[in-house]
This record gives sequence, C-alpha cells and structure tokens, in this order.
Amino acid sequence: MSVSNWVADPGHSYIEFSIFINGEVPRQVYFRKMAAKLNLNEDFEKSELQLQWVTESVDSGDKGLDKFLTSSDFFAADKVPSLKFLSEKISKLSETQFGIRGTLNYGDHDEPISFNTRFDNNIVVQEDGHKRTGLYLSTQVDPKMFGINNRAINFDKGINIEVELEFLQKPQA
Amino acid sequence: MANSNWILDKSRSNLRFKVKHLLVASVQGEFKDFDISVSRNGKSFSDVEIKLEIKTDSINTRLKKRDDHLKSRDFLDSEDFPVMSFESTGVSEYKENGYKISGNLTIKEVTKELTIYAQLERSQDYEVFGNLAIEANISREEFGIQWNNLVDEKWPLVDDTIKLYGNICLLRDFKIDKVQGLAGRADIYGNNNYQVYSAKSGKQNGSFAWFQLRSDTSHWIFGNCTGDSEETHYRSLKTKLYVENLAKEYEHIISPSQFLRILHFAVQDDSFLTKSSYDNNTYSLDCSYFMIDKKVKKIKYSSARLTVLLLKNSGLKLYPKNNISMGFPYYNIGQLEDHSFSYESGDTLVVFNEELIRQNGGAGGKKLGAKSVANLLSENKLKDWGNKTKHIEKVLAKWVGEGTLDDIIVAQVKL
Repeated sequence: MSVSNWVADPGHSYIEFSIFINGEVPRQVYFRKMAAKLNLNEDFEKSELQLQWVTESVDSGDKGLDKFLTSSDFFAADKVPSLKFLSEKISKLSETQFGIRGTLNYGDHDEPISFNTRFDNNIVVQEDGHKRTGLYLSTQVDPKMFGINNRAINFDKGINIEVELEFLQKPQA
Repeated sequence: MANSNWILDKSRSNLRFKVKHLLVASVQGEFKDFDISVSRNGKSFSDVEIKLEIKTDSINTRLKKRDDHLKSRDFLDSEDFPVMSFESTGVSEYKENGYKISGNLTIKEVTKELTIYAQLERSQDYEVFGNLAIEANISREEFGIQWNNLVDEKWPLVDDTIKLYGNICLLRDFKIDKVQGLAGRADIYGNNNYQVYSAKSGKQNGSFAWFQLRSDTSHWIFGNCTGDSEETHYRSLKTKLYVENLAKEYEHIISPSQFLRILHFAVQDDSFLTKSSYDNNTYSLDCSYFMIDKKVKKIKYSSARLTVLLLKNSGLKLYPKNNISMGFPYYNIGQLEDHSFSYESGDTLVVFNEELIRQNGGAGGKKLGAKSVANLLSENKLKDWGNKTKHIEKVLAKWVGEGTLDDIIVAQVKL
C-alpha cells in the first residue's frame, strides 16, 4: 500500500467553532492560523491526520468577543497557544463516510475526540503537476473539555467544530 | 405583535456561503455588509415580509486576491452592481418553527425565484428577538455568472452551486429612551411619566445605572443599583459605562439578555479595580428588568433585590422579589425568576431598593420599608415637581438611622 504526504492549503481550508453563550444565537469563530498534514494511504483507514491551530488567531469578526475568547475565561491563549489533533484510528462507515478518532491536545490536557468525516477520494491533478484532495470533518464537544467553566457563561449546547481541508501535494521531483 | 418591525442585530448575525473548489473541498466566505428588514402583519411568522440587501463589495473569503476576482466582472461586478437583493413573496411553515421563504433574488439585474429555508429560534426573550438560521442553494449560472476553468479536463475550479447560509438575529425595533444613572450622588430626575430618586449620605456611595426602552407596544426598564461600599460605586459606574457604550455601538439596539450579560460581566470582572482597600465590605447589585406590555396591560419582571409595588388609586400591592445576593462575596449569581401581574391605566409601577442594614429611623426606629415608601409616593402624587422633591427630602430625613441614610433608589413609571 503506497502512502503519500499532503499538506493543507490554508487558502482553501478552515477550522470553525460554533459557540452558544448564555442562550444567545450561535457565534461562529474561525482560526486565522491553522495547519494540517495527511499521510494518505491507499487504504484510507490506514491514513494519518494531524491538525493544529493557533488559539490567539481566533476571529469572530467582533473584537470584543475575540478578546473574551482568548482570555483566561475561555481559550487562555497565553497559556495554551495552540490546539493539536492527532488521529489514532480511522473507521469506514460507508463509501465516503468515515469516523476519525484521535486525541486533542489542549495545554496539559489530552482528550479523546471523534470526527465524522467525508472523504470522496477525488484527486485532482493540476497542469503544473500539483495534486489536490479534500476532507470534511465535524463534531460536537463539551466546553468543559477545554476547562471552560466560567460562571458568567451558560453553555446551552456543545461547541460545534467544523473543519474543511483541501490538501495539496507538490509534484514529484 | 401585529404590525411590528424587526431589525437586524449586526453584531450577532452573519451571512455566509460555501462553494466547492475543484469538487474536493469548499471555500467558505461571507458578506460583511448586509441588512434585512422584517415587517410583521399578523400573529405568526408566516405573515412577515422580508427584504434583504447585500453589498457585493463586502464579500470576504479571507484571501484578497480571490476577493478581488469575485468582485470583478467575472463574478459579482461590484462596481456596476453594488447590491444584490431578496424580497419575499410568501412564507409558509413546513415543520415546527421551520419556514420556507419564497421570493425573488436579484443579482446583476437578473431576477430569479429563490426559496430560503429558515429555522426560527426564539430565546426566552422571544418578545424581543428571534434568530433565523437560514439556508438556500443558488445556481450562479442562472444569474449569468458563468466564469470557470476545468482542471484535469473534468474538475470545475468553481462549482455552479453556491450554498448561502447564516444566522440572522432580529430585534424588535426598540428605541433607547434614556440612559440614566449617576454614581455616588443624590439626585432626582424624570418627567410626568417616570421619576427616579436616589439618595446617599456623605459617608457612602449610593449608585446605580438605569435605563429604559420603548416601542409602540411595550416598554422595558432595566436597573442596576446600590451597595454600601466604594466598590459598588465603581461597579455600578462601570455598568453604566458599559450600557452607554453599548447604546452608542448598537445605536438603538439592545435586548434584555444582552443587558443581563453585561451585568454578569460587570459583577464578575475584577480587572476594573487594580487595588482594593474595601475587602471588609460587602455589597450587592441588583439585576432587574420589567417588560410592560401595553397591549394586554401586563407587567413581566424579574428582579434580584428590588421591591416591586403597584400603586393604584385604591392603594398599593406588593409583588415578590428573588432576594438573590449579587456581588462580592456572593459571586454565585442565582437564576432570576420571572413574575407577572396585570395593571390598569393610571396605575404607577414603583421599584424600590435600599441596602444598608443600619438605616433604622422614623418614628419607631424601623428600617425604611416598602409600605412607607408607598405612602410617601401616595402623599406626593398631586404635588408639583419642586414640592415633590422637598417632600421626599423631608420624609427621608426622618429615616436617618445611625447617622446615615443612603443607597436608596425609588423609581416609578406611570402606566
């Protein structure tokens, strides 16, 4: 089984959180700085995925909310500069649907997390030889997982995480 | 709720889209500048008329080069067509709180029918705002936007289908009538419809923030008031500043839940005080709101500490409060409970709060109570403005207990 190495194209990828605070409308926030690597195996279940994003780069379009999200009340960006996800097991659910289980590292904590994943196995070859493929991941997590337990915040629902990744592979020399 | 207008809370709304790139992943973007107006002609959401306007040059996909291309003649042609718009022609409920909004979408002067699927969510303040989670699929080629490139002979660089989605937060078209509130001083202000009185001694700082919202059919009042320490003064002042800034930022848009959230942060955030020498003092903040529904003559309220009275020609009626302590050292903010009661035209809603436990005075050396305040207000009812003030000062002077009478608020609204 051949394995190929891919890196996410940040211009065509995003990591987004939907957060519900105090019974209000969902607030979507994304992270300006992110990176992802995929070791793609012909048998996708044997592939490996790494994701990383910088907490300080959170962007909700609302400076006040960003300040709050990076503060010690929420992501504590000064203590936890980045979040990392490393896949451990990929399970096939249907032709294009997979479950990716792994560990989310958040500061001193390692938490198990599972993503619902769509992988169409479409690989596009550009004229210049670059190849592209994509992954879509989604899940919902408990905010307490991040140690977020601020008295002023009532989370009615979990945090929805949505990740869309377009991977790029340079032409072989 | 007939004939009411709803307006967009821009700070909590977004309008996004997704489009497949090479059919392997989606590019996500948003329109930063858009506006929506919703007018309601009947009781249900099916009776609304919706107008949406989107500024095409506000498109943002977080990549300038791509945004510039999307604004160019290949796509939206923002220079010649600065706005795309949607106007509803009919709304039908197809599942619980789920609506199909039919209407016409116009892009680059091409108009096509479009159905937007909307899920209406209401917060507990549903009289004030609702949230629409919307979704629609648009074929860009139908609007003459056909630019594309095929890669590897079969993969379109940009898909034809654009998924439009977002959260539209709607607020009733309220006006902030007043942002009242003075910290650390005694004052009286108001007009024929409402009056606010606060008292302090030279020793302590009574303080509060107070404001009200009005619409054609309802009237909201919010309060945050007194304590017995310098910290209370700062916190109340800070809350007042929060509210004022928010009022400026949102112009005339604010909801009770926003206000309650502000209060929560104001109570919890210690950063305002860099050095405290008042550790031995305790203080309380009130957190309250009143919604006066003029149409059905009903008052809904929730209050941590305020005494609530309804002053009628025939006397007065006292209503329950939560007795929740908020503020140092009571960091655990309890859940406010909703109460409601009916009123008649001509009644006066009175809210009364006093904090310091040593304020025992008057004839029997008792604490100034709700009944005495109500009597005072009854006696004052027919007096002109100047005499009203004098009378209040005179009566309250009798209640000075152990050298102080402060941190008192009496506010009344004529219904």
